Amino acid sequence: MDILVCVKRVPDTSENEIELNGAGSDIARDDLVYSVNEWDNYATEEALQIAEHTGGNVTVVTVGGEDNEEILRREMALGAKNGALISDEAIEGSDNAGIAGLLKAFVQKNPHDLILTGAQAEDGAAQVGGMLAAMLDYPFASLVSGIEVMDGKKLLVSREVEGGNKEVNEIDLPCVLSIQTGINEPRYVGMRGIRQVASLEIPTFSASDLGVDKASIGRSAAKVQRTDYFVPALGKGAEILAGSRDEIIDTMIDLVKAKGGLR
Amino acid sequence: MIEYIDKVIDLRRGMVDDGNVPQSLQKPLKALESRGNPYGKMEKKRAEWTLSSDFRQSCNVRIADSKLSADTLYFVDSITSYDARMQSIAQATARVLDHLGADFAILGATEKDSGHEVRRFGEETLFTELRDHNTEAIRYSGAKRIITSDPHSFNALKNDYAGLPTVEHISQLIAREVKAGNINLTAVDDGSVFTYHDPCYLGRHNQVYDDPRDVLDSIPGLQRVEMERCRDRSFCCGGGGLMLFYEPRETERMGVKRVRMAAEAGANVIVTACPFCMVNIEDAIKVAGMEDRMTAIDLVELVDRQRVPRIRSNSSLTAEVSNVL
Amino acid sequence: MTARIFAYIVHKGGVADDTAPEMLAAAKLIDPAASPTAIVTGAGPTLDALCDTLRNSFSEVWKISNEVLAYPNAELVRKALVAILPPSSIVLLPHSHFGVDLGPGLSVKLNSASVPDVVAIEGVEGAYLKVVRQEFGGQFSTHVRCDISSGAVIQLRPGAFKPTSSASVQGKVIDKSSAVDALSARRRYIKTVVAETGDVDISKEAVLVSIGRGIQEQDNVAIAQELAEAMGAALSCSRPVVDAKWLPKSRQVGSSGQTVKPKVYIACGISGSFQHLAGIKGSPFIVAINKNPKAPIFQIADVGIVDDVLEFLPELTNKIRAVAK
Repeated sequence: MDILVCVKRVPDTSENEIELNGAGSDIARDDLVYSVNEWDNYATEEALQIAEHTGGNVTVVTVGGEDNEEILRREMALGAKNGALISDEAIEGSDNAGIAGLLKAFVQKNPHDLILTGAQAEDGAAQVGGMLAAMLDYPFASLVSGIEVMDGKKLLVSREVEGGNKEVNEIDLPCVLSIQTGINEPRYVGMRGIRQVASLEIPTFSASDLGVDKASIGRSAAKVQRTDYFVPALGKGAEILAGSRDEIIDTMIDLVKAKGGLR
Repeated sequence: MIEYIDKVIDLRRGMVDDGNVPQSLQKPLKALESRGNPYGKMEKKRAEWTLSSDFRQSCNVRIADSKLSADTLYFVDSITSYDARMQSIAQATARVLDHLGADFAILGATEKDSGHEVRRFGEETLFTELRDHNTEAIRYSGAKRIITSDPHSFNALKNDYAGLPTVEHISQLIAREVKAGNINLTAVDDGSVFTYHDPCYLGRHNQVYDDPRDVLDSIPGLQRVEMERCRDRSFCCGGGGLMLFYEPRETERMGVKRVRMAAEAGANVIVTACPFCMVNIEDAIKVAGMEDRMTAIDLVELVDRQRVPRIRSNSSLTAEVSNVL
Repeated sequence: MTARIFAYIVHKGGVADDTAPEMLAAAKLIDPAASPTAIVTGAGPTLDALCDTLRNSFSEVWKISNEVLAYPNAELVRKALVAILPPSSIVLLPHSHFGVDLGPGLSVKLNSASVPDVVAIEGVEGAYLKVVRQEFGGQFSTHVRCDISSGAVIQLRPGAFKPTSSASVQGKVIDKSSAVDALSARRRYIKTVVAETGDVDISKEAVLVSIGRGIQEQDNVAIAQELAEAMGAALSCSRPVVDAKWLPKSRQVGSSGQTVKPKVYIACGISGSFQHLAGIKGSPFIVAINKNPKAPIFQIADVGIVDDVLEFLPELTNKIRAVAK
C-alpha cells in the first residue's frame, strides 16, 4: 500500500519560551528551532509500520519554503522513501483551505491508497485533513488512534471519542485519516540516518506544476485570516500564592481543607 | 579485568542506527541536536547562572569571544549550566578560580554539551558534531588550559576529544593550590563526619582519587571516614548523564544503596565532585528518608564555603585576612 | 446581516449536549437579531422528543430522521446537511471529536469558510465575521477575520460561550427528512468500545491530584501518588502522561478521556490545554502548581503556585502527613 503523509514544519515550543514580536503580528522567531509537527511524526511512523506490513512506499509531502526540506529529510531518515516539497511565493498568506487545495492537486497527480495527516498542528485548527478528503471526495476519519488493514480495499479504524471510548469504523480506500498522538511509539532517527539522506533529491513543485491557479491561493484568496497575535488581558485568574515554600504549603493546606479536599 | 563498557556502547550504536532508542531518551537526544543541551533550553540562557545579582557582586565571569581570550577556560557543560541546583557548583567554581587569581573565562552560549553521554548512548554521529563544535570554540578562545567541575566533561575533553590544551578537574587544581599555600581553608568543627564518594569518571576511569581527599584533609578539624567501597572499588551513584532521563527498572536504587553505605561508615555528610552524583545522592537521601541525618555537598561548594576570602585592593598586592569566622 | 444561522445539535439518546445552549449564545454574538435554527439528525422517537425540547429555545428546529443516521456518522451527516442548507448559511458546530470530523469537509462541500476552535466572537463587520482563537497550546490568542460572504462553518470551543438566559420560545419543528435522498458513505460505523474503568473511576472521585508533562518522568509519578494517598485523593492526569504510557487511559482527564466533577482538583505540572480542561466540570476548587508563570492553567485555577512540582509535592506531602498526626 503506498501511503502519503502530509507533514508540517512547526516551531518547537515545548519549553514554553516563546514570546510575541514587538508588533504583535507573529511570535518572535529569532531563537526558535523547528521540527516536524508532533502529530505528523506519529502519522509518518504509522505509515511506515503499515507499509512494512503490507509492502509499499511512504511519501512525505509538505507545503512551505526551502527550510521545509529539513523536515522531509528527517521523515525520510525515519524511513519514508520519497519526499516532495510544494513551494511557491504565491502560497504566502494562504489559509488552511488554500493549503488543502495544493495538497489535493498533488494527490491528483500522485495518487495514493492512503493519505495520513496529523490530527492538528500548533495552530490547533485540525482542518487540513478533513478539507483535503472532501476536496478529493475521499472518505475521512479524524482523531484516529488505531488502524487495522482489512484487505486492499478497506481499513478498520478506531477514533478517539469522549470518555476514553473508541469509535470503530470501517472505511473504504482510498481515504484520508488524521492521526492522534499516542497511536504508536515513533522510532528514533539518529544523526547518522539524517546524514545519509542529506543529499537525496527532493522534487519541488510550484503552483503551476500542480495546475493550481494562483488566484485560488495566497492572502487574497484566504477567507480566513489572522489579523494579529495578542496576550489577552489577564482576567481574574488564579491568586498566585506568595512567600516561602513552607508558607505557601501552609496556606494551600488551609485553603484545600476549607474546600473539603483533605480527609 | 573484563572491560565491557565499550561492548555495550557498540551494541547501542547498532540500536541507534536501527532507530531503536527508548522513547524517554528521544526527547533529550533531539534537544541535544537542536539546542546543544538535553533540556531543550535556549543557547542564550546557558550563561544565565553568571547573571544573578547576588553572584555578580562576588564574582564577574567573563565570556570568551572575539574580543576576549583568557588563559584558562572553565568548561561548565550542560547540567551545571542549566540545572538550578547545580548552578551553585558553577558559581562556587567561579569564585574559587577567582580567589586563585586565575585568568579564566567561559564559552557561554557557544558552549555545547560535551557529548560524553551522547557517545555512550550510541549516538556517535551526534557526538562527533558536538565534539567538533566545542573543539573549534575552545581553540578559538585561545585558552591554554581547561578546567571543569564535572567529571563527565573532564573524561570527554581529556579522553574523547583530541588536540585540546591540558584538561584538569577542579579538584586537581585546588589540591595543588592548597599544597602551595595559595588558598587557606577555615576549620570545620561542628562534629560533622564527612565521607568522600568517588565519582566514576573522576576515580575509576581517570584514577583521580587522592586530590579530592587531600583537599578535604587540608581543612582543619574535618573528620573524614572512608566507605568500605571506595577508590577503584567505589560504588556508582546510579546516574551517568542521560540516565536522568531514562528510567531503568531497579528494586533498590543504586543511589539509595550508596547513601546507606555512607551512613554505615559513620558519616553524616557525603562530599562528591560530580553534578550527576549530586543529583542522585540528594534524591536518594530523600527517597531513603534520611534527610534528618545526611546531607550532600560538592567539593567545590565546600571549599568555597570554607575559604578565607581575599580582599582586593587597587595595588597589585592582595591582603589576606587570617582570622575569619 | 442576512445570512441564516444554523446550530447543529449534538445529542445522545435524545438528550441535547451542553453545547446546544452555548451555540445559541454564540449565535446572538454573531447577530443579535438572529433566530438561529437548530438542526438535528437521528432516528426514532428519541429524536422527536429532542425536537420537542429544542422548540423551547429555538424558533425553528429542522429534523432529519433517517435510520442510517441513528448513530451520528459525520460522513452521512454531512451529506444530509448539504442537501438541506440554504447557500451562504452560517453553521455552528461544537469543536469536539464530532465537530472536527464534520466541520472541515462540510465547509468544502458548502463552498464556505471554516473557522475551528473559536473562543470568542466579536461580531460582524461588513463581509467579515471577527472572532478570537488561540494557538500554541493556548499560550497566545489571535484575532481572526473570516469572510462570510459565502457562508461559514464555525466550530465553537465547548465551554467558551456561556449560555444566556432568554425567554422561552414556541418554536416549530420542520421535518426535512424527505429532502434528503438515500444516504450512503464509504465510512461505516461499526461499534463503540467503552473504555475500561480500571482500578479507579476518576469520574466519581471528589478529590483529584492530577499530573501533566511537568512530572517529567515515570519515576516521578510516585511523588504524585504519595500526595494523593496523603490527601485521600485519587491520581489522574492529562494526555501526555497517557501517551508516554506512565498511567493508563482510564486516568486521563480531558475531551478524549474522562469527564470529572471533583470538589478539589490539584493540577501538578499541567499547562492547561483546553482539551484537558474540557474534562473538568462542576467548578471545582482548582490549585495549579507549575513552574511556568505563563501557563494557561493559571487563568482558570483558583489558586496558583509557581514552583517546580518535583520539589514542591514531596514537601507538601510531608506537611500533610505531619499535620494529620
